[in-house]
Amino acid sequence: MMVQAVKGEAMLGDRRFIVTMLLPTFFFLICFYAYPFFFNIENSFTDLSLFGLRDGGEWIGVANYMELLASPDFRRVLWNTVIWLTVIGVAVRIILGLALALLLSSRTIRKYGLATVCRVLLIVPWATPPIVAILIWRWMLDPRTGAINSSLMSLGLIDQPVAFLATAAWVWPAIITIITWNTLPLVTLTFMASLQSLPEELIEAAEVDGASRMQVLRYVYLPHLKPAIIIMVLMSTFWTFNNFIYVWLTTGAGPGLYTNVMATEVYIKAFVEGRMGYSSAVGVIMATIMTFFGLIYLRVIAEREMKEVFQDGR
Amino acid sequence: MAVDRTYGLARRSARTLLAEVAIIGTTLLSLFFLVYPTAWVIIASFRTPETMFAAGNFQFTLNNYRTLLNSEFTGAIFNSMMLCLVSVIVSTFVSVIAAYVFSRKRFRWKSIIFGSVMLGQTFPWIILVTPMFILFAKLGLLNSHLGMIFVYVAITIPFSTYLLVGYLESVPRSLDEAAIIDGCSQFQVIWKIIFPIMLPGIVATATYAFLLCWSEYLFALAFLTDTTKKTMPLMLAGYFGENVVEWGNVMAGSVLTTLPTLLLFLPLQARMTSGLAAGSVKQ
Amino acid sequence: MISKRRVLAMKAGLAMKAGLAALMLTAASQASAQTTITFRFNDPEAPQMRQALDEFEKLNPDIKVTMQRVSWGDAQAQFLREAAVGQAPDVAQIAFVWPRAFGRAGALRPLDDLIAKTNVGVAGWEKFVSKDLATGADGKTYAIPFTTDTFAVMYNKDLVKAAGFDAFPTTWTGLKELSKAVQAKTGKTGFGFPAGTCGTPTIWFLTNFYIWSKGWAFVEPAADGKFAVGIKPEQLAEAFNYYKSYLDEGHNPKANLSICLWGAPELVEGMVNGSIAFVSVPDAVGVQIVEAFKQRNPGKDVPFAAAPHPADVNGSKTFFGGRMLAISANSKNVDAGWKLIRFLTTPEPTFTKYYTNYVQPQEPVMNYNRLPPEIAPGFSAQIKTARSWGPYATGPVAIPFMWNAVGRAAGSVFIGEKTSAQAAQEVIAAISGELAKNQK
Repeated sequence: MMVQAVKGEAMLGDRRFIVTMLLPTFFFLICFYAYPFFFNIENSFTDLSLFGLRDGGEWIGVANYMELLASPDFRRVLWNTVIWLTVIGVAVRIILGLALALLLSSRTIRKYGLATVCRVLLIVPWATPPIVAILIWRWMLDPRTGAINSSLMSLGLIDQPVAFLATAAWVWPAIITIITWNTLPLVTLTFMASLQSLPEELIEAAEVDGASRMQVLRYVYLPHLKPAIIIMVLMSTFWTFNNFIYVWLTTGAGPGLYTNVMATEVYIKAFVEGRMGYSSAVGVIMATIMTFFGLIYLRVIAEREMKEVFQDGR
Repeated sequence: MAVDRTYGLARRSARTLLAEVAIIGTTLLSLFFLVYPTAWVIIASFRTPETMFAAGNFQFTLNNYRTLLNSEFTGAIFNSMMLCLVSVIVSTFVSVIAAYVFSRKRFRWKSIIFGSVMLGQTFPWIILVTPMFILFAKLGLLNSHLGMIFVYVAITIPFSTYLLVGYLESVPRSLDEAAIIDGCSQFQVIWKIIFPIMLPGIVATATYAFLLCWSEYLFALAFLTDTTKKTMPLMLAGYFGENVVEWGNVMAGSVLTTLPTLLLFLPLQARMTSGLAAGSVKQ
Repeated sequence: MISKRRVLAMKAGLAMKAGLAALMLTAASQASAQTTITFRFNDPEAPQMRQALDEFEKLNPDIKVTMQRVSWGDAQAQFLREAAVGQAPDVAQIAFVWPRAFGRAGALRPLDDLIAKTNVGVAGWEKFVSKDLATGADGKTYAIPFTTDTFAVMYNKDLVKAAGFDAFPTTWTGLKELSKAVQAKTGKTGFGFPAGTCGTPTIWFLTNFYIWSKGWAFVEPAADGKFAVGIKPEQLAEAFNYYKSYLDEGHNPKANLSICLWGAPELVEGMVNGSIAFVSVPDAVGVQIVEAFKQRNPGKDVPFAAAPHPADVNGSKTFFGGRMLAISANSKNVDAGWKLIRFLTTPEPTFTKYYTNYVQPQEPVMNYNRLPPEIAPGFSAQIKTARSWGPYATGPVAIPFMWNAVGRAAGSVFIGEKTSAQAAQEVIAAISGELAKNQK
């Protein structure tokens, strides 16, 4: 009886402790994520306009969603966001990051004591805030004074400067270059950190067994790096999918609407055209896609790195 | 036989040498690509705007910095520093105590609660601008640093919690359990046992939060219109004006915006990436 | 169990409320003895304007003015958001075409009582060039015109002569022939216009100049007080094709697809260093070009002149653009704000000492001869034929909507993503849709 009472009190104390510790987090999450999200859902069923913000919008049911699903512009926005920005953008980053990490972790680089220098230099683009990165690259890609055009011209590869950010064939590669430049170091350094825990003997053993370079890569390096690759793919995906400023400050979703993505579509509809109801509907779709993706992410971290954390208790 | 062997060795070492040259060459090329843009801006910031884009004609000047530091940009440096430091301290504290509970306690609906915090990482912030604007207006938090701190704490909590839980999982539970048996309260355990052990992880987490806050643009654009309250990214974007690009300001401002994160990352880099990798190494 | 949980939930709720209350208290404690008003000013001349404000503060020691800045691209959304929640700045510099829509949104304070009491700072208030724009649908005055400008063609006389033209052309075809000839004979750029896409692209203006001169318009008054689309898809396609041909033929280089604004540094620099033969710019940019040239080539003759845009059946048509000053509906410092507006609209000293690049829009003081003598005649000739935005601003389709739609459509045509016919069709369908929706 006594014991039970003490235990009960301890549990109550424990519960109070748990609630107190989580309270600040939830204060921020509810104010910042939950409330605005429900506000968005509500707006997406209205014709709220920027000019009628004071009076609120009129309930129009699912009209915004119908319009959106029927719109060819929205299909392009989806295509741009999913394929160009996210799939291609993330794939380029992971593949280059992998290649660079293997390169910088190679025996040759270590033999000549270059590893530290490389690592320090890798920090430079990473520490460059995106807004600065965009300013720099907008200049680099500029047709008149930019470094890329002037070097290509002086090498004789082109005879007229190319407006990279205003040409259909170049604009997506250019945006992806900017994002890759800015985010590649994080991916590379993470892979390098993971490679440090790969025992050298394992590689040597494989080589003694006569494995070719490709085989070592496939059967030794990649399995070891797999968890890091998965985490990087997941995180890069939601960092990129949700990002607004890379596209907006680089091309303003142009030329035309050629590089319009979901984040810029939300912005244009709400703040350029003033259609806040429609913009909210785009936002809800955007959040829904990311929630599905987030569930995959949760599954991965629940199964891999944070198994115990995801265990309920009584 | 001997000749044969020497020949084989020579051929092999020639091949190795070639491979080494290729590896070093590729490395240098990639590093050039990665460093060149920032390096160019640093150099350009010391050139007069007139000679900035000319290839050979280099005129050294400190005027870009002088002009910039005599303008409202100085206030923006202070604003950014203050906002980010306070936000990072608050957000790291909030995340540490939450991470401790998530890592060490078992309670009902824990996976759902923890999962919802983690889902915060995948949330598109762009859709929060209007609702937050309306909420802030009601609370009088527009054009206020308090409001921005709130935003920056909120956007950094999910990722910070993720990292910290990852670190905590690698700290043996026996340590804090022993302390509790010794009669420490739970708060004492966090403060005296967990905090010191986790300090490297906490510093790395705080650095990520700092970078996120330091480069944030979207919310600052919507919530800060008073020139004296603006942050560095906002001022910087402003120099890319609609009619004039103030190149001197753009270059010097870019350097000053990059410098703090660069200085912060240099000593902390190894720690930061091992954190992300460590979580994923454990299987 | 349940009750315990409920207690916890209540505690959580209380803590949250306490937190919010604390936040609100901190915010509310920022009161001051003096009247401080906020003034939103977005033009590039911030230092000059600050000097004018300093002088205003000296004359009114009980008023302090805090200047706020937002880029023009973000300014409209920012102001409307703030107005909706009662947080807009006391006084704001706004675009010519905003007052009516802003008035309808309840964002601005009607100024009629103040005008009746003290009049504005400038003579000729009744003779303001686009008075319809300052008046709301309810007949109230929502803003005071501050500055005006219009676009004219500014050209390099030497390059025009080198291209074999004695006089500047007055037709659209002639303009293109000149552009082509400049490139063929001198290798320089002919008509350097920005063809890029952004929130506020120049191509919107150029498209309107073209279609207005032919008597078409995106929105025009219709019977029974309603509005209708005044242009057919093939006519709009013709305008798109006209500008596209400059890029295709190369006398406006494709590089100009990467710039979007009329005052882009690339264009100003191109005019100053003589690599562009002509541009279409508002007078403030024209002045900037002349001044930059003089600074770089002291003592040399200024080679520039200005001319009206080409004419067609409807003459040469540009618009009165400019800025107005308004007081937000939520302002608690109306008197101080009104004092500031009166001060700023009084020609002396604001326009004589500080804000000297701009022209006031009231006919008695609207003086284009103030511009550098080389370009003054051209701009003066153009402003005589300029029109008000009229139905664009008073009609039911928001200008930013059309601006964005036309700009994006032109962008898709220029990069060859869409045909001009298809893009024109889509724009007109979008505008018709808005018309139908907003005038049920």
